Amino acid sequence: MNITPDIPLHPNSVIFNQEAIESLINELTQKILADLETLDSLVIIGILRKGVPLAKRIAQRIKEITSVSVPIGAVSNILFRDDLKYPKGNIYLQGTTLIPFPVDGKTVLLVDDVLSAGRTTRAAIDEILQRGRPAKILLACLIDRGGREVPIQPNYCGWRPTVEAIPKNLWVSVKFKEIEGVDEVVLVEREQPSYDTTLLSKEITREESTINYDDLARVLYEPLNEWKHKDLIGLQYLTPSEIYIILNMTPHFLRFYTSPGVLKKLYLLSGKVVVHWFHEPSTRTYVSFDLAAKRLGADTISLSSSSSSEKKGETLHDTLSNLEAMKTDITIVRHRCSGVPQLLASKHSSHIINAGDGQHEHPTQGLLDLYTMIHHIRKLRNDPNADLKDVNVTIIGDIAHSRVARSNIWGLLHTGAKITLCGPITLLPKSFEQLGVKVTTSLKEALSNADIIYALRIQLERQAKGLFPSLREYIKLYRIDKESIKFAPKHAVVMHPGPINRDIELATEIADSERSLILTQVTHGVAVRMAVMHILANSNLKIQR
Amino acid sequence: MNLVIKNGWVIDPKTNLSKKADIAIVNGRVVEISDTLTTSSDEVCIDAKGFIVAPGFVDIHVHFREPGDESKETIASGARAAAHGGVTSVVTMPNTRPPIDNAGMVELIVRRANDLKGIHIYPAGCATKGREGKELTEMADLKSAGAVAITDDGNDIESSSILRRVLEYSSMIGLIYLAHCEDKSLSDGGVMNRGFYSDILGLPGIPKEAEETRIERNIQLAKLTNAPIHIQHVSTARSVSIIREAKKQGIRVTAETCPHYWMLTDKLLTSYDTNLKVNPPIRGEEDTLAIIEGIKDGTIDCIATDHAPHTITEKDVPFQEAPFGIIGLETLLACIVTGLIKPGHISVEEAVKLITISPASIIKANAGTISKGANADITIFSLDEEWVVTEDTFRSMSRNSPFIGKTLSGKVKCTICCGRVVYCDKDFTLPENTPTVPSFLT
Repeated sequence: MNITPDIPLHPNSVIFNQEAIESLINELTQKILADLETLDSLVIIGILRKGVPLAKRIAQRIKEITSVSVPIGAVSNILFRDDLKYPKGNIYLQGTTLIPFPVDGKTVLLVDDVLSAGRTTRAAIDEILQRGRPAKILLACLIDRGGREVPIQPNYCGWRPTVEAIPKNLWVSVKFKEIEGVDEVVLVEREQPSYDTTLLSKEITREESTINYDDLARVLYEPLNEWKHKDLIGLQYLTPSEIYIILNMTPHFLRFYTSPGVLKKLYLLSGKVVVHWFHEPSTRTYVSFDLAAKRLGADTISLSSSSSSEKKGETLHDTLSNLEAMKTDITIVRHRCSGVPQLLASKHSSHIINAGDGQHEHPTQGLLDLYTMIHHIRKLRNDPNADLKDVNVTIIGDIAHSRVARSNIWGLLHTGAKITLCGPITLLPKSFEQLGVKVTTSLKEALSNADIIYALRIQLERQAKGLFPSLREYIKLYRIDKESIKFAPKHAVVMHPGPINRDIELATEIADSERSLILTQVTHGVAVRMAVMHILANSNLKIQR
Repeated sequence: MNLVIKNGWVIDPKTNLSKKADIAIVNGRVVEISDTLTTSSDEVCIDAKGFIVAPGFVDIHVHFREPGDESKETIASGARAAAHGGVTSVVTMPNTRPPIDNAGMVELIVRRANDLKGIHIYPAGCATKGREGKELTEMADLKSAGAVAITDDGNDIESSSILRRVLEYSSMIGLIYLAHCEDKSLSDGGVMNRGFYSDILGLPGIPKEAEETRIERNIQLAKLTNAPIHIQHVSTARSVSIIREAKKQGIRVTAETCPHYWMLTDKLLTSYDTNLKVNPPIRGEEDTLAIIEGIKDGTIDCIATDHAPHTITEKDVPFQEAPFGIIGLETLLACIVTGLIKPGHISVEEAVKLITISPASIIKANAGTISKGANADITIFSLDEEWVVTEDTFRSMSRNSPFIGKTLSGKVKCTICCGRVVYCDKDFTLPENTPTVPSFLT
């Protein structure tokens, strides 16, 4: 088809009106139908965002002509953009991929409005290929504007002007009724398109899926400008706004990680090496970190202290220097001694993430607990903007020896919660009162206004050290069970960092009840750790590595 | 060759001298001190204009690690570090490997020290065999071999009855017992001062009471035995008041503190810097103030460094696993000037006394004075010069100083021991033919 608009090509020229667009789409559809022997394996996938309405219209035409309903999907180029590592200006997410069918063996008709450099198409193809192996992928576009930067050619094209026809400074903008309320193709001054992102998410939410899409690139990359740390040592060392950078990013990772029908991987750490270096046994933290790293596309290595050369007398510094000589990027370290992450961070270039140091901090546990608490409070109050300000959190157990307690205390202080610490006096450092924390040995008092009850694991070796007389007595005084929980308000929920000593600090009937958020904490842990690793590894730190 | 030190401000606490004067030295001894000395051509004349000229400093608490841990420090390297710090007499602690618990070991230290011909090294011997707190050492033998004191430093003597016998017996022999006061069952694996900072850092704390209860007990045993006792490294406010009270009662107690107990507080440990790990631990703000009070009112008799070298490798480990101890000889003067003299807590004369005649008299050493006939042990120092402590500062083999990176006032310009120069600052010029100990000047 050779439509040559007989109007001058200058800014704001309307080169196609509604009628012309209809006719372009009709011609495209005819070409496609003429070309395909069968429609049995055909699926149409629109490239977000304008490719989606176009895909729908083509599908509609096909149905009108052949009565065949062709499945439609939407694909985002965001995960495979080639400029994510070099963000210039804003990268807008125009919705995320939703392909509600397997692509294996299918003939995929990839549809976009305007084809120019070809980079978007390339990224969309990669996203589709992540999901399977289509029999073939065909490309249809309404307008091929020329100016290819990668070797991509459309199989079907509505209109292809000569290269000289449209001045380089002009942008071909396709508008659709479904989005802009009008069907037309206009030439506009070339500039970054500005989208109303709230409108976008609403529209796509309604049309494509129930997932609340956000502007992913913005939420994942913009906050990194505010991030100043090479390492995550403890929540004590973060500001409230830094904590919120992590917490605000968490739901986006959580969505990828938990939503059915959505790609589970985000290649934000591809090519990076994450080392798990656990000098103390760990199951849940290790698995959670490992899953998070793998979901982000990193390669992971695990060293345990029993297999590591520390046993052969190598110093911590030497072990890490050797690992880093193999070009590892993130070191996740757990050690029985407080302060080890700091010791390593000061001398080594990889990003150190503290996975628990002695009795000092366990920052990712603290973060996942904070996220779980905020999430819970928002649901409880039915207020998406609620925070932890003035929420009463009671932490019960061996405060003195608990790194989880310390990270929670710092995190909760930063978020404005009211903290009560409770346990036998031999396990309860009074000096925390200096931080504005309430310290009490009375469980009844500690629970009386608790919104959230956080039970800590009681370590059995403490009793051997004579810090309390017996587990029996501990249970009698401090166990959270169906009797003691009556001291707490009805809405109070129970959390625990795991692993639980069932029926010691927490009675089974409570741990498994609807009031328990314990497994939710674990789910959130992966997303929080994804956020932490992404933030550390992808921040453009002024500190040179 | 005769030596004259001219134009300096001479301070001698023994004779209460503090004035501009010249000092004449012949054959390693002070022969004359007067306002102006005329010099002849065969005398070497050191110009000390603008500087303080004080007796060589006396540090009665150092660890030179030889024998056993020569990678941390040797008698030779420790002596050079001392000279660099203006210290011309040291008492070495006997917790070497093996410990100095017999006359043969004391003789070894004495011979090595004599071979150096640098500074005066006075060994302390163990109070009990193997520092185990069980059997008394042969103290008469230790003394005749050259020991000036006995101590199990690093350990308290757990058994009160053994300590009682140690005090009685050492008093008979005429050796002072230097008491490390610590109830280890209360320290219980602690690695820093117990308090707010140990709680937030998650490091096991050492309660102040671990020191205080043992100072109390050890002083009571001194009272029981009417023996003198010297309390080492006093670090807490209550320790100071216990000693103050004991002195009032006439108990024969003396006490030392160390620079880190007024210069530093446990808040700094938030860095987990193992160069802040020392026993007794660095305490809180209120303790540093009480230590300064104790220095001002004479409760604390002298300042020692507890110079305790450890290699970089040994210290570059998790805080809990690092050894206790920091070096101090080479920052001693600067800590006193910066922390005590400049803020106006004590005068320069009082300061000099705390590191010369006072500690010398505790061990009954013939040192710490520039009076006529005394050994010509002299330290020339600047009161005002500021300098930055760096890793390159040290002549010690170790670098475990908490003051690295700090700017301090007060700098040793020249150290003379027995009439021979053992240290000279790079911008301090010595005339030709100045008698020196060459091995100390390189």
